[in-house]
Amino acid sequence: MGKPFEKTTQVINEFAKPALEFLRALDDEDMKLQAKSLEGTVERLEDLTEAASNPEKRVALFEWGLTPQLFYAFDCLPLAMETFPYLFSATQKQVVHEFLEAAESSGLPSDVCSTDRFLVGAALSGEFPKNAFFVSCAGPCDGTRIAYPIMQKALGVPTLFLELPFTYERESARWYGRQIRTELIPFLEEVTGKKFDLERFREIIEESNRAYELMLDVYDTYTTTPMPVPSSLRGSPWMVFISDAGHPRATKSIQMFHAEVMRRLKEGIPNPIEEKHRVIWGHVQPYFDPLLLPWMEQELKVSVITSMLTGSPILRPIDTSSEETMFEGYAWQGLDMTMSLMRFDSRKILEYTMKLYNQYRCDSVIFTQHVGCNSICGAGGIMRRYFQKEGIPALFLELDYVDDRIVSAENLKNQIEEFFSTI
Amino acid sequence: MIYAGCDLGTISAKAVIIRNGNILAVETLPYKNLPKQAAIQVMEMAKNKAGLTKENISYCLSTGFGKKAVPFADKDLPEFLCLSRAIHKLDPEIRTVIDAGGSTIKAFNMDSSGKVTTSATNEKCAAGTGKFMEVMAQALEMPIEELSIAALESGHALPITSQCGVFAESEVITHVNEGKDRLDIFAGISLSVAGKVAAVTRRISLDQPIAIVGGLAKNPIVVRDIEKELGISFVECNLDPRAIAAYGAALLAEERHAS
Repeated sequence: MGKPFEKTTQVINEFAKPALEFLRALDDEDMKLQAKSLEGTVERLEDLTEAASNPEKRVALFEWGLTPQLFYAFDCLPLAMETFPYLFSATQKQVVHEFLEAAESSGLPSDVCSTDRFLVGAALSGEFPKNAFFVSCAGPCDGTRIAYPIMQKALGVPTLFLELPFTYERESARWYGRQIRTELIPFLEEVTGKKFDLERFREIIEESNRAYELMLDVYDTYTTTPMPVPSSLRGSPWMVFISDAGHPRATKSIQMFHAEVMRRLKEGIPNPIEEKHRVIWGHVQPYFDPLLLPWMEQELKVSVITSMLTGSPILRPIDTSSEETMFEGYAWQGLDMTMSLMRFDSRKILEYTMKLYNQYRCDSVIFTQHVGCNSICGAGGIMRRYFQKEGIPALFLELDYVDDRIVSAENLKNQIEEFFSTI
Repeated sequence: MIYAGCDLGTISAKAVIIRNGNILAVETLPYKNLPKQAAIQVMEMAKNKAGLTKENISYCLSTGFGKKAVPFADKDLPEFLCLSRAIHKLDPEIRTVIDAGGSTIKAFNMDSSGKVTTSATNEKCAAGTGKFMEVMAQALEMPIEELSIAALESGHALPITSQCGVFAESEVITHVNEGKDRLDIFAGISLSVAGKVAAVTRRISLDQPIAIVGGLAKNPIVVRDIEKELGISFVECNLDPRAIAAYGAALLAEERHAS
């Protein structure tokens, strides 16, 4: 059993900080931009690891259907669990393998989603602190249904499961918002010993709205050809938002990104790499190969609009005019920003993909068939037929986005190269 | 001018040499390891057959699983491009192609201009590929060429249920130890492979005429079982089906070098 955040601290000290120094030292505008984005992430992770040994602090482990603002309103340190495996997948694969094996040794089947197996393995290995609590949502996802009761026992910390709506419409979002008010807030009051302060929540939502508006602007610039930043950097604001929304650090990071993107557009400094194809990548990309997108861009002249999880903003900022509108907006954002949307019906996934396909003027689609995700693999056949009927070139990539032992980066590159040779 | 294409697959290396689109030599060389050497050797064989020296080849393109390892190639190309180019040259009427190779299964539709319109490939698993069959034949301790013909007479194919190559191999060994007829076992293996190839192919349209290429196209029992499984009949391409991608690479070498 390791110490809380022991592996996380290793990633910060042995990878993130040296990478930050390295990127800063390079005479390359893109690398400097990447360094600035990474700064906030390092700071956030350091705050988290420090909080693990401070009994006065509470670490909010949250997943599915939520964004960090409400946890900041209770002065907690939020950790978006969906993003946690990627931290290791991109940097220390042996930790991914170690945690997956720890989960399997405890009896979790090897075909359960690797995100869930990773998190259970991390919990069993003592990676999460005892001053944490866990909030997640029950939804149509086999992996979480199997893994989270085990997770609850392994963590031994207060846990709350919310019910996710099965449909993506206003009444569902309002129902979900009411649940956040009637179940999550009392839970947070109990675990933190603090009373909910509506004005504090409003301030935090307003802070996150500033970031969201900037993010919408940034994503608007991705409709231009060529785009102002390379594929590998495009998802950065969204990743910052889902991990840190409501914290001034997140707003600052997205503001900096926004300023740089706008400067490039204004000064006519586009991404210098020629763009032959623009692809919308539905569902998650393989995070174990951070060089995949640069390779696609440089070797194949393929520009990627990321839709990692559901990583392109499609909403308006949250309406803070009343408590009701604020919770409804917060509910919508939770349902949209995390992987929740991926678990609605196939028609909705298709509709969302086509919206982005048209908005960003793509000419092809890549769709991940993550081996542990029945929802997205189940939608594959319907989507494949739709794209064929519409004459949209589509590549369905079976892979595990965390575990490179299932399908190697080389195999994926081969499939991607073959696909783009046909269009 | 003379042009060449080299397809370095996982089981064999193939080389084709052409002049003005006409084939001067075709060679195929199965190999166990050392792919780079296999590529060099197969090209030497092809050059000898065509009566050429190295200097005679103006431009060479490589393709296949080991395309980056072909030391003499000027450039490499994806297999889809090479296959579609060759098929269009050999028979422009063909609308669907199944490439059943050593480690991949590909299926694609082509339009009248030879452009690939839809495609599908096997993904994380090599079940149903040539390598899978080769391992099973080794477990049966008989040459695959012999089994592929003799098993056509099997009247009772034994089902092989495992998709995983390792488990399937132990299933085969269990059948052997139980004294089951090896031809019946191989017929079962063929059905398993045909099912996998058909599953990939069903992701695209079965537009006629349909051709099968790749190493498994030389395996009569597998070809028969794929035809049965999909309810189709393959048309013949007028070239060794293993060398189609290499031929496409040679054609593209000629076209690209000329332009």
